[in-house]
Amino acid sequence: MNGEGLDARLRRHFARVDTAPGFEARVLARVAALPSPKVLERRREVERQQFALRKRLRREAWFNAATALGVGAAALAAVWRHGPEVSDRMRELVEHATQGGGLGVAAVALGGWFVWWSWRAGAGR
Amino acid sequence: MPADQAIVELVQAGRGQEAFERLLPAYRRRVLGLAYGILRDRAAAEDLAQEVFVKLWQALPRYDGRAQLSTWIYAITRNAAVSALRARRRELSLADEAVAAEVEDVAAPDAAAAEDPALRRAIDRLPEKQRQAITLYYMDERSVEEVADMMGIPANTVKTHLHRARASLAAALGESAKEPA
Repeated sequence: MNGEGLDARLRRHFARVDTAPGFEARVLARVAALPSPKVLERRREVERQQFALRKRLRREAWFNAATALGVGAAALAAVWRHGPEVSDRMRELVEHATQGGGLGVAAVALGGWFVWWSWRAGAGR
Repeated sequence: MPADQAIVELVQAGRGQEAFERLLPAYRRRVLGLAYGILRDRAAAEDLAQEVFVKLWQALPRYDGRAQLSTWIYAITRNAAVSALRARRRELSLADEAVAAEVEDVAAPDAAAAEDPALRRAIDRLPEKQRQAITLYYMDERSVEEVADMMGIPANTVKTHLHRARASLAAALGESAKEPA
């Protein structure tokens, strides 16, 4: 074609591809207007820490909610499963307390408490 | 690369500003070339290169030296260029690639295209990876290995892309596809 060969033609073509004059000065002016990389890095580090903290708190909140649900479900299941047995035991306990001097002990304790309360009230005057 | 070593030492010494002032001229054309190979538009590539350097400035304190500096910079450039290309395609929302390419030609003529429009059109019609390989290889007389590093693909794949691209260009332009020595 023109005799110079494809190789030379390609070299000549790409040799003309360059940045416009003043490219480096423009880049340096742009970066001079930016905060220093160390400040940016510190800012990024703080953002990373805040993100990690938010993530941890979110995870803990989920964990706590799951635990509360689990405990609640277990409590409900226990009441469902053992409710009659527990109420029988309570009834036995009350019956036991009311028999065999249980009421007497309660009356003495109540009397003692009343005396102590009267004495405190008198001392406070 | 010795210049890279000096830049890395400056970064590690906490002298980010100095490191950046060395990095900018050292990588200006390489970042532009990579962006140009993907975007096919010099003005858009230059805007993107500027964004990439701002990103590099912000990310430099986080560079830990595990990857090579060049590999790190090329990865950032490639990601930014591919994102920009996707955004531009969404904006254009033209189903026909050829029409989209014509619009880009009209919207962003550049010096290289003005000098050799037939070559520019033929390059634009190449598949994306072949176009990137050709751009990077010829822009600064780079080695196949360096182009491979820039594109993040094996050197043999770059050789294949270059071979196929030269053959396609030669057929399109009526040139002989002689391989460089």
